[in-house]
Amino acid sequence: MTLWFVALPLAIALAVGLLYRFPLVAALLSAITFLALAVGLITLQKAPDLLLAGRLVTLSPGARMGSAFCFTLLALMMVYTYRVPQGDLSYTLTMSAAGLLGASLMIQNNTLKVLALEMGAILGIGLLPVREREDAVLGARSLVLVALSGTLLLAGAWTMESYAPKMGESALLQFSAGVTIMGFTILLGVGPFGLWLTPLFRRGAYLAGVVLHVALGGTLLFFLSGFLQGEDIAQARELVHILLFAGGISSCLLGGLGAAAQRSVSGTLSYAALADLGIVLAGLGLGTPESVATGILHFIYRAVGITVVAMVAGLLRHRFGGDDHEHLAGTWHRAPLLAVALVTGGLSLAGLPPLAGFVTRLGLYRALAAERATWLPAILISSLGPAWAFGRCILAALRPPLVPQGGPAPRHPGLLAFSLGLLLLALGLFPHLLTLLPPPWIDLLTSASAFAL
Amino acid sequence: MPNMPTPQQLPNYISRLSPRQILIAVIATSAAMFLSTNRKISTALLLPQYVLLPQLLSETLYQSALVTRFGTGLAICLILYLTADHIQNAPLAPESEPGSDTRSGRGLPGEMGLAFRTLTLVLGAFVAQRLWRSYPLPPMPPELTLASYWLMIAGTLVALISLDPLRIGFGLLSFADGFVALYLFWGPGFLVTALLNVVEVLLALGVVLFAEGGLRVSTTEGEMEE
Repeated sequence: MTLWFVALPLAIALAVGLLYRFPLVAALLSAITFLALAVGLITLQKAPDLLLAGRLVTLSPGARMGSAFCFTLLALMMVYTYRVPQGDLSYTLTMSAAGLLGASLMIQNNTLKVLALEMGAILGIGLLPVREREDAVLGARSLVLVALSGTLLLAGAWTMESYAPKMGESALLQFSAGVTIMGFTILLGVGPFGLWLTPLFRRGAYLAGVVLHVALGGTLLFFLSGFLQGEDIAQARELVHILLFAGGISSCLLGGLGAAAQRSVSGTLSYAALADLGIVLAGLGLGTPESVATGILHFIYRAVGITVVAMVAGLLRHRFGGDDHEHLAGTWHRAPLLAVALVTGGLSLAGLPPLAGFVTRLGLYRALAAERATWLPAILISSLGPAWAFGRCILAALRPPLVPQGGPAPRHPGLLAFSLGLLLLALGLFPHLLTLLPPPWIDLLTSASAFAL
Repeated sequence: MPNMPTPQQLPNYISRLSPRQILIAVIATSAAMFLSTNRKISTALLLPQYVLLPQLLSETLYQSALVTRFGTGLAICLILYLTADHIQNAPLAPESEPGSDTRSGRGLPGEMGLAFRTLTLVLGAFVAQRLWRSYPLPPMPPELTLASYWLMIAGTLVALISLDPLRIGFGLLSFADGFVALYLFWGPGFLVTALLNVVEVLLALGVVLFAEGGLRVSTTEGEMEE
């Protein structure tokens, strides 16, 4: 049963690869597969552990919840991609990347986990559409960074598994923990700042952006939370927390500053996503059970916010030729669903009330005030950047049109973005809606320790 | 040339090479690959890395793992060669001459000049040598350590200074090959070796995807200008 969650997306990836000339069939097949997988993961009571080539493969409750959430968002993106095409290979690559990232969540051996993660990331980068020559260079450079981070993660996993614990060498453990965190931060797009994940949305790679920010990011976060709670790094835990906190704070500050200067939805989304990730990493870096659990919940809200704003930006570009302030003018009249989705998704990413992003941000601010209060003013000020930029986009959407208008935006993808945006609003106004989730999932969300592998 | 081995004699000939000869051959061919502006020649020069470097691992790797490594290298070089051939024969292909712009007159600036690339490689060689002296990683053979360090550093530098997706790919694959050689020495097992090969093939396919995409854009831009 467990293997189906990996084998099915990979098998369907082959099928939709053959069906690329029939985008409607490919989109529906992909979306149905993702939904079926999500439902299967939600309803599954207990999957038996497996031994595959001598390695343990297990589907923990955390992996089930994370995968079900990612598969649901990807199912919506597949439907969306039919109306806003992202390239012939988009369905195949998304399905195979999802399958490999799912495999990475299930495999208990760190080396194999990293290899599956790296393969998933490479396939995710393949989703970047090449519209200009700079896109091709960005894609090739992104592959370099993924290979580099894979190298660091493999070196860290190998040192940790083979030598450090046996030898009890604290220097080797520190090295292992340090290179592992460096690998994580590169793959998450935190460092080197703005080199690979940030330009994706600006270059119109919306599906790639969602797959890499949400599916890859979620897998990494899961991996990271397991890594943080492992016994192997007990001696290096303090260093790991410091590195994560430093990465989180710098990404939050730089992302906030970068967002403030943007004049388009895609540009703002690129930096706001990074700034928001910084908050999550800072929460993990604080290391208290509450901050880690709130950080993980914030990542989930962030994923929904990114998906909503990416859908809006993609539709604006696809239908109206751009998503900058000039093209945004008149959006309230010609595409009100998109405008509402922009408000809910954007303001949730910026962490403003009454959206869902605010609820978890507030929790993280409280944790920050209790543990490292000196950083709080800087974080609060930098969080104004995305709010300012999204606010300007919303105001631009209210103005009368400056450029010739096209027809109305496609209704179905707009409705998807609108519905997800409403979900963010509902979770912001009524946070206790989360209690409607199955009890084991609530335990996962409220208890950081349960998230460990 | 009477001393040149025939293709049938090549495996025997390679297995008789000393570690030092292999090291010199790997360094020389990879340096030539990084300096060459011809994509097809660069691809051909990538092959010795995959053929020669595993010879330094023959004592620690199973024969079957060595064979899959050769096969992977061959597949990667073939994939890249076909793309290099396609790009170089395209009517509006991006120029690869140092300092030149694209034929269509727009887009990315050309590659860095030969002098700059040579200096970069000298810097890379210096760093690799210093790293090798400081971190010899016993019990690894010194030739394998130096070759791996060199490929990783030179590959990174080439990927950093290049503006052509295929050339970035040469750097990327050299980096990956250097790391894999280093990693395989510690005997990670057949499954991990096979998966590392798959990762390298995926990287090569990714490079090809972006190189072909870049060519398609160049061709479209050129046609629009005409």
